[in-house]
Amino acid sequence: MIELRNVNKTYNGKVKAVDNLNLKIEKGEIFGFLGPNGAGKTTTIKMITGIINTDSGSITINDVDIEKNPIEAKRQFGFVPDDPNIFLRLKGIEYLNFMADIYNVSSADRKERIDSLSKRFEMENAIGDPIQSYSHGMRQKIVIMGVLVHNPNVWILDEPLTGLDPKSSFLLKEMMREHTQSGKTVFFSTHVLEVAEKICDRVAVINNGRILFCGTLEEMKNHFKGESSLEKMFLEMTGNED
Amino acid sequence: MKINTILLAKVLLKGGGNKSGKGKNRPRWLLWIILAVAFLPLVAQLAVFTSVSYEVLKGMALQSIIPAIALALTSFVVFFFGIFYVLNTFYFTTDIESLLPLPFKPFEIIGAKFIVVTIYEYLTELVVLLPVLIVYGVMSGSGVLYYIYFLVIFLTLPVIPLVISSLIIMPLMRFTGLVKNKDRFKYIASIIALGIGVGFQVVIRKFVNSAADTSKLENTLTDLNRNVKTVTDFFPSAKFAALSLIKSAELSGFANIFLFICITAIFVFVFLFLSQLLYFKGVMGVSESGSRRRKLSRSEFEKITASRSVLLTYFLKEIKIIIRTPAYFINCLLSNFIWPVIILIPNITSNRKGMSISQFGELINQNANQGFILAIGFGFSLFLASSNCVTSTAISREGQNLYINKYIPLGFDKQILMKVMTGVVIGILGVGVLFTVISIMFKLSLTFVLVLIVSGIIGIIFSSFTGIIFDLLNPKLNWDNEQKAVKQNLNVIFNMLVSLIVAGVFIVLIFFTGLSLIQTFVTIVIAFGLFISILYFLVSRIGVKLFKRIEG
Repeated sequence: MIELRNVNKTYNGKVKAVDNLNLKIEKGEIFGFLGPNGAGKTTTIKMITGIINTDSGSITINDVDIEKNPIEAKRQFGFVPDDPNIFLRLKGIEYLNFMADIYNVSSADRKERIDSLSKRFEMENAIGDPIQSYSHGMRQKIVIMGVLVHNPNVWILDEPLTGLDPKSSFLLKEMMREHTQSGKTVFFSTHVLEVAEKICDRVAVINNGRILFCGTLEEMKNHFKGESSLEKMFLEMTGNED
Repeated sequence: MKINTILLAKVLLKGGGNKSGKGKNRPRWLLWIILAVAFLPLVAQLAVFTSVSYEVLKGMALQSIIPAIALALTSFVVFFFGIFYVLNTFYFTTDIESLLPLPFKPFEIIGAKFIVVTIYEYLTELVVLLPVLIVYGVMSGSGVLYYIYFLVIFLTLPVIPLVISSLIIMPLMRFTGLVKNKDRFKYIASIIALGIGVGFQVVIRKFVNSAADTSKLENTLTDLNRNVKTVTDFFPSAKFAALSLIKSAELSGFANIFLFICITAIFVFVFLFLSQLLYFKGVMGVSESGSRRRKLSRSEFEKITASRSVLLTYFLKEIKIIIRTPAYFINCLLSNFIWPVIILIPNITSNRKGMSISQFGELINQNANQGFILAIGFGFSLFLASSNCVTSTAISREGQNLYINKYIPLGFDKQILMKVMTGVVIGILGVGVLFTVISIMFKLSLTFVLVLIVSGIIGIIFSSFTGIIFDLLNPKLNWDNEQKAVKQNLNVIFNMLVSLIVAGVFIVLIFFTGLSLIQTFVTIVIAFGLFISILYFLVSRIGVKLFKRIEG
């Protein structure tokens, strides 16, 4: 569960990136975070994950406050950043083992998970090579695997499907579904509306740092009577801003 | 097309500098002032050496070899640095991927890059060539033409050595499999360069040492004259440049500078022609990196996936990245061994000095001034740990990926301490090698060695802490290639300055108080133990806040 209460963030004292944000992502749901470029999605995610500080307001993950008890809060989630170009000098497997060590995964668990994840993501022949030698999609996969290796309760993913091939993309969506079915939480941002439409239990639309809508797709459809596609609703919402 | 080249050179020069888009823009003039201060002693030394040599050589009517020596040596230094500039600017740079798809001809890109490298080399000339030739000009009472010729030579001299370094590198990159593993190539190149650098150091030492002794100076200069012939044979154009300066008052001076310019122009054309053939094919694929793509064996898998403590795993990650990133390997690890070598080589080679090495060792073992020698050893460790830049670039090296450190569940204090630990371990490696060799060479007593080692470690810990404080205060995170995180990073210079000052003050204090070995040792342990405790407190409290505040 993730909860944001009255969260604000301003850059350089001028640009208001997030404006009094309130969100609650329940256990067992896949939550899609939608919005145009520069809407405040990544800023929000960075605040949830403790990468940047909030100006005011509070953020809790499974009831642990990220600012008051950062280490415990960070243990609750796994994070897939939008840029997979990380730890390029390490081998894939070294990165996975690094993550396992950092999150105190037992030796037996990590071996079993690395084994099964590299099979599922078809990375068996690549994990022995430096991440530098991977394609964009493979780097994306290894970062996702780095999260799954410590089996976190909450998944936070920033644009996780960009660059993935259809098979891996399908696999990830399937895994998100499995994860929430066991009562856990998935929070992800995306531009791809079809994805949100297909797999999200609830979505929030953000623009100019403010939440324009938060609810199920059904509710959104009821709200925009007559509009059939999410794309049209999205465009109408974000287009009417300013 | 000429316009293309110049436009591109301008863009490349801007990109090569500090691209600190976000945040505070550090004043560039500050960097220049610091650089000037850092090089001033060398410039002054060269100027003094030139004027002393001039007097001596005048007695032998040989003073005109000064410009020849200066130009030949500068050509060699330019050539030497050129190998690295060419590698880094022509090949191992990220801009190449954005330049290749643009409609440029090979010679336009390489021409622009060549201009950039030439401009870098002017800095070399400023330090090495300018003081010598200005002093020579003044002392020989040369006329205006001398200075005009000098200006022309100053601007064109780097061209030929640079063309030669390019002509060594370009075919290598085009026809050998070296590009396939550019990291390995960089390692090999840097180790060879270190070897050449050490050799060069030996030669320089030889004649700088002899400057103090006029009778020896004559011998050295005649020696040097012979060596210069070898160098001018390699860079024939330097001879014409030298002759133009020596005979600037005569018509033959003009003939020589004309010849020099012609030869330079020919080199440029040959270079552009060959680059047209060699450059693109060599540079394409340079961004690929090697991989095996095979499944790990069960035993490999078991070995790599062994579980470790969180702190150890973080520390090992730091070490792995330093070893595997050529720019870090060279600046953080290899540089660690350069100073010991520089200090050891002249001592090993100069057996003609009044005292033998073992006599010197005895002197240390018996002399009452052991405290002073310990202070020097301590000061050296302090300086070495600051010059290896492990901690003073520890945050900067994270670059745009700093955010990863923010979301992993490992306290910032622990992360910072592990970064300090990395610096301490690497520092101990460098100092350890030096102290071991010195201890064996000088047959030092066991007590002295033990005291020296403990003091050395204290010195290393001290400057590892000051280094990370500088980097926490103002990390350089906006870089597009790793080289820029460690080079062109003011924190390294700041930390070296602080270490030099602290070491200097401490050595002077011990010298004047004349403390014994044990007294000096106790002073180090108590005083620097206290400093380190304060630094530790600062890092684990304020450092953590600073770390938290850095928002990439």
